[in-house]
Parts: sequence; structure tokens; C-alpha cells
Amino acid sequence: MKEIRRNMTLLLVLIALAFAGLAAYLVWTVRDHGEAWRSSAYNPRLYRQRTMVEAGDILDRNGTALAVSDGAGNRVYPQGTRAVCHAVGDPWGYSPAGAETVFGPLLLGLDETEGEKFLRLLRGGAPQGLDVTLTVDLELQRAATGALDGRRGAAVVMDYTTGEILCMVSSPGFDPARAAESAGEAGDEAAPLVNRALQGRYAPGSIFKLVTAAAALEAGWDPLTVIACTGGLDVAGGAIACGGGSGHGRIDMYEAFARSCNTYFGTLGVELGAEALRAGAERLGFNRDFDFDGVRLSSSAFTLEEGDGEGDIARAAIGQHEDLVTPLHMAMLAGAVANGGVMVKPGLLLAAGGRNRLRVEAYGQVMSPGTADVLAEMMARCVAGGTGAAAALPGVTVAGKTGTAQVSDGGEGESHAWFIGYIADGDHPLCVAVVMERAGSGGATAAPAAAVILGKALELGY
Amino acid sequence: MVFALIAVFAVAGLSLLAFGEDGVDPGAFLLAGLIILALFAQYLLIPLLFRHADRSVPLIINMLAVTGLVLQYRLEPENAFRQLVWLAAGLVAMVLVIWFVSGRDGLEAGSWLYMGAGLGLLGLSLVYGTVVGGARSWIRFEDFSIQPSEFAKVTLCFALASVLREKRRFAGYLPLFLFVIASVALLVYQKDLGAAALYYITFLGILTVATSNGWWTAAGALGAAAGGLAAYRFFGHVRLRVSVWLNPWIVPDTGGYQIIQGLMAIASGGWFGLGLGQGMPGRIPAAGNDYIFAVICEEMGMAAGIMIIAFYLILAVRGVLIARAARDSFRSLLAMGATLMIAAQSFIIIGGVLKLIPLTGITLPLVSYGGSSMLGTLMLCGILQAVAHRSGLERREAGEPDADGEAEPEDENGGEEDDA
Repeated sequence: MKEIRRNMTLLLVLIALAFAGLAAYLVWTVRDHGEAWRSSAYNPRLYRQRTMVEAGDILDRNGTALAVSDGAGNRVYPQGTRAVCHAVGDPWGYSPAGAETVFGPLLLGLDETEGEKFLRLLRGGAPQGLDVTLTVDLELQRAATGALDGRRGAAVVMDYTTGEILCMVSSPGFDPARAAESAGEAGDEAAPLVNRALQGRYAPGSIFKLVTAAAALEAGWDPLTVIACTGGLDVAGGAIACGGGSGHGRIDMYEAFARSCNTYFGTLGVELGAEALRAGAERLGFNRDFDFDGVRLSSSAFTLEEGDGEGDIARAAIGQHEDLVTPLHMAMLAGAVANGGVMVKPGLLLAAGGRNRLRVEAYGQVMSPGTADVLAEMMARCVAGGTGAAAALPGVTVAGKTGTAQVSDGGEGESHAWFIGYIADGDHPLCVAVVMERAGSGGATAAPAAAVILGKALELGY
Repeated sequence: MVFALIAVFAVAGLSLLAFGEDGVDPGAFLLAGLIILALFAQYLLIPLLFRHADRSVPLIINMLAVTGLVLQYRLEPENAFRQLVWLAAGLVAMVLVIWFVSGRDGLEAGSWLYMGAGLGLLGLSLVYGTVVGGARSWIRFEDFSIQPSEFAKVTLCFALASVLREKRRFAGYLPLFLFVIASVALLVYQKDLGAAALYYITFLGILTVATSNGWWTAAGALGAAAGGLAAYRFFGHVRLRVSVWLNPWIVPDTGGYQIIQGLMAIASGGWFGLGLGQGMPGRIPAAGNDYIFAVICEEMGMAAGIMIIAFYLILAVRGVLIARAARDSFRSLLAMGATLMIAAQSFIIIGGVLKLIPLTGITLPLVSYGGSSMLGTLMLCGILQAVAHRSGLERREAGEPDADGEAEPEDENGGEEDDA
């Protein structure tokens, strides 16, 4: 009996620990995920709240109304729709990355603390929906939508010192008031409800050379090292073509970057090895989810592992193989180069209820200032006299990198066109990423589109 | 005193529901009156009939049951009255169990009877069962159904205590082991996974307490792990449960629907809840049964949820103290089994609702809607009360000081040195 009683006490301790753990888990899980659960598009309480509370307006950074309530419980989108539909979202959460969903609790006045709620209950009265001001500029959104020229794709402009997203466009668009009609079928490639800037995971093509270059420089590679390009690289799994036949000749990294030499960066990747490449990519934010203001940016993927063959390494180093990137992440990366190696956290929420909500935060020093300087020089040369020449603008220095990513089911003209870059001027701290699906070469389509968008941003005074 | 507070809670909660948007609802006041009557009857009767019965166990029972009744009324007024009838029936059953178990000698000799009855009850639903919520564990009568596995819990406690009360060799325990394996297999076959886990945890816990044999416990745990893996491999519904638990958000409209609705309800409630009647618990499947904890968190807040957890902990503490104070190992293990059963059941369902462990469909004891569960749980509480009463009587006969409901062990080694 003595032993049994001791065992019972021990079991009681175990039970007590289990129950304490249960209570702690309840508090912890709600603290960690509660906000996301509550603002989930599947939460029926949000829709009921819409019938009881006049939802606040969604405004662009200049105060232009993008979404308002009409007093009868309906949402109206006065500025037309296509240019801002993905940033704004829709009232039902069909496009769940939009402000209507992500900032739903703010718009519906559910963001109050327990204290505020108690005071409100004492006074009597319904919760007050807050007006939400986004960081985007409607004019710039329209310019970017025009620059995409009706093609599928995405364009992002971000202030690389504060992280404010001035422009976030995804194409094709949809009509928020009739989002259900755009839902379409699963597997539909147009997928108008998907915000490609955040959730589009694209093969990067040559813009990935920025990542390879950063990894090499951080590992101590001398950018003046010369490699001979004879028009291709012969590796397992098929030769990698380069420079149209005769090749680029003996060139250093600056030249190779400006002219987007596959031989140079493929060789460089093999020299570095899978492990170093992946470590370099992960330092720049690959294989990682970014969350900001409750918005989720899908992760960019770099899958190379120790023991992968040279062919895979070479292809991965020039943005093929299994590399996948999101447009916003690429804008952040270009911005980090411009910002001395510091990657800032993006922001989409400028203010709520008239109170400033923008928090300028950095993800950290993702590369050394020295590396950033060398990359900046390479990107400047790419636009000054390389593949990115079409992105140049009068009066400012544009730096960047083009990419032409072959789509695996490829064919003639079946490549995604990329341009990522920035304006190298502290008075106009803008970085940009443009991707146009199946639009051909980055230098010919994406770079001029980026020039149009950045030109408009300068015109608007950013 | 505390009874009065529970009555105040019932009246306040039901009044809140009575003055809704559609005018005054007299049904709520009727229910409140009946609840007060039930509380009053217990307050007078139990101490009168069983002088040494524990004083705090009925308090916990009533706090949980009245919370349940108020929520049932909020969800579906008709169910609240039905639940009240079951509560009354359960209290009568509890009194009978107290009377029978505390007064009767020789109960420890009936191990074959208990095991046979347990298997019989589980087999009953195999033969006559209808499928409810995916599990073939219900027997339907004219206008109500019963769930035999709820009553088999009581026989399991008796079987465990009667076999494990004395040390035996392995062969002596073998019939019990086979009985438990057969019971669990039957429950898994009926897709009642929650009950299967519950039976096994109770078995393993009492086996360990009674024998102090670490090897057997380890073997039992390993066996459970192997059985779990086998079930995962061979049963599609087990795989589905696990994948939905790991990520319900990829199937928000089908397999993950209930979990997601529950989590959103809990998150919407915050610390102090949306207020009784202000939430949308109707959207959660089985809101009144398995998912009542999410409703509590939505409308009364996480604070109330934590209090509910605390009530079960207090019940467990009282139960273990009663078990420790018992003078023979049969009654001691009997009380411990009942305690562990209730504690494990509340942990499994609350953990499931919180997505801490895979969700299995079992009730939150005393709170969830369900007659069989209410009856079964109150019979387990009756066991606790009976053991407490019996210990008190024996202590009195031996001329020891009357502990007056305080279930402190009075034997030669009754120190609390292990509590740290």
C-alpha cells in the first residue's frame, strides 16, 4: 500500500503537469496564431461582423479611397479595380492576401484590446471599423499595370530604406466586387486571384547570378578573377549554352555579370560547391517564409544539397535547376544591395484609424557592405552597357540585372522575363522587381517595363 | 456557500440568455429554477445519506454540469432540458453507486464478472450498433440512443482494481491483459479511437501504480506505439485524422473544417470571450458535444477555458487524495482508476480541440451534451464518493479521529514527502 500511495502521488504530479501544460498551450497557441486564425478568410464571424459594423475604408498612401462601405453593408471599389485588386483583396477572402482579409480585424473594429473593449461596453455602442491606409500609390499601381502590357506577371516597387511597398501589381487582375466569378478551376494557369508578387514562385533565370555572386564574394572570391567563356559549359545532364555561339572570351566577374555569362557563373557555382551556394542563398532569405503586417510572402526555394552533381550545381548557380523565387523577395534582395547589405522588412500597412502603423525594421545585414559595393558596381554596369540597358533612366543611375528564365515546358518565346534593380540615389531609394510570364528576354521586355515604372515613381516624387 | 455561487452563475447566465433580442424567454427561467432545485436536493441529500462523502467532488460536478447546461441552453434549449433529465438520472445513479460500493463487501472478487460485462457492453454495440459521427458505438432505441462504451468505463475500473489489487506473476495478470487488448481492439474496430486511447491510458496508469513494474509499463507503452503505427498503416481513417491534425488548413472545407472552426472560435473569444450568446458556435460541428470547450473559449474566453481545466485538476487532486486514504488496495485502485479515467478523458478532448494532439471524438466529461456520458461519468464520481465514505466509516470504527471529509491518509507512512 505504501508503494501504491507513492505511485499515486507521482501520477497526480504527472496529471497536474499535463493540465498545466494544456492551459499553457492554450495561451501560447492563441498568442502565436490567434491573430491569423481570427482574420482567416474561413472565419464566419468576420462576415457576420460586416453586417453589424460599417467596415472602414481602404485608402492608398495619398488618401485616395480604394474600398469604401456604401452604408448598406456592401463594399464599393471606386477606383476601378484591376490596378489595385490584389493589394485590396475582396470582402469574401477569395484573394486571401488582400487588405480586406489581412487587415479585416482592423477594418471591422475587432482590433481593440480587452481594456478598450471593456470601456466600449461600459459606454455602450458597436465597435468602430478603422480606416486602413496602405503604403501603395494608386497612380504608380496604374502605371505598373500598364507597363505589364496585359501579360501575366507581377511588378513591385519598394522603398529600400523604409520597406514601404509603393507598388504591388499582379496580372491578370479581377473585380473584387465579383471575386467569386474569378475563382475558376484549380490548376487554371491564369489564376487571377493569386497575388503573384507575394505568392508567385518563379524560376529566376539569370537574376539568380546576383545570389551566386554574393555567395562567391562572401566566400572571398576576387571579382577580378578571369574565366574564359568559349560559348558554353559542358556538364553532366546536358551542355549549358552561353553567349550565342562564340562565347564571351576571357572576362572577369564584372563583365560576366553585365553580359550575363552562363559559363562564368556556372563555373563559379561548381567552384563554390552546393553547400556554400545554399548557405549563401539562405543568408539572402531563401527557404524562409517572410511575414510582415500579417501578410505572408511565400518562400523562395533553393534546394541544392551536398552531393548533387556538377550539372545540377552549375544550373542552379545560373537560376535554373529547381530554383524558385517570389517577385517581392527579389525586390528586397536588390534593395539590400542598394542599402549597403541591409535587407529591410517590407510594409504594406501605413496607418489605421489615423494612427501611423509603419514600423521600419530590418531583417539584418544579409551581406557585408563590401560585398554590396561590388554587387552594386556590377549591377550598375549591367544597366550602363550590358543586358539591362533598356532600364536606364535619364538623370539617375539605375542598377540591375535581367533574367530570362526558360520554362520547363519551353519552346520559342516561352521564357519568363525578369528585371530586378534599384535607383542608386539616396534621394530616390527605390528598388524594383518585374516579372512577365512568357514574354521572352528580360532585357527586351522586363527591363523597359521597369524603366517605365521607375520613371513614373520619380515623376510622382519618390 | 459555493452551491449558492453556482446557483447565482446559473441564474445570471440563463437570465442573459432569456433577455435576448426576441423578448423574454420564460424557458430559461424554468431551467434556472430546476437547476437550483437539483442543487438544493444534492446539498441536502448527499451529506445526509453519506456522512463521509467528499465535499468538494459534488461542487466540481455541479460547476461543470451547470456550465454545460447553460451552454446547452444557449446552443439548443431543448437539449438543455434533456441534459437536465440525464443529470438527475445520473445523480440518482451516483447515489446508488455510492450506496452499493461503500456498503457491499466482497466486490473485489468479481474480476471475471467485470471483464465479461465490459466485453459484453462493447460487443453489444458491435451487434446492435448504429454509426454516429463515423463511430459504430451507439445503440439506438425509440427516441434516444445509448453508448455502451461509456458504461464499460465503469466496469473497466472495477476489472483493473479487482485484478491488480494483489501482486501476481505475469500469468495471473494475463486474463486482464487479454481483456484490455480485446476491448481496445473492439473500440478501434468501431472507429471509437478516443475511447480506445482512454481505456489504454487508464489501464497503463493503474498497472504502473499497482505493480511499480517499470518493464511492464515500458512494454505496454511500446505495444501502444506499435499498435498506433499499425493502425496508421492499415486504417485510412486513422491516417486522415493524423494528416488533418498536422495541417487542417489544406483541407479547410472537408477534413479540417471542424478543427479550423474550433480554432477560429477560440481565437475570436480572446481572454474574456465574446459574451454568452454573442459568438457563432453554431458553425462548429458537434459544438454541444465534443467541441463544447471551443464554445466555452469563444463566448466566455480563455480565462473560462483555463478555469474548466483547473476544475478537472481539482477533481483529480481530490480523487487521488481519496484513493490514497482508502484502507484496502481494491478500493484505492478503484478510486484511482475513476480519477485517471476522467482526467485522461478531459485531457484528450481538450488537447484535441486545441490541436495539441490528434482529435478524437469523445465528450468533455460532465459538460458535453450526452446522456450516456453524463451517466457514466457520474457513476465514476460515485465510485470516488463511495471510497471516501467507506474510508470515513472504517476510520470511525477503528476509533480514529474523524477527518470530516478531509481525505488525508492516516496510516503509518502517510507523509506527503513525495509531493515535491
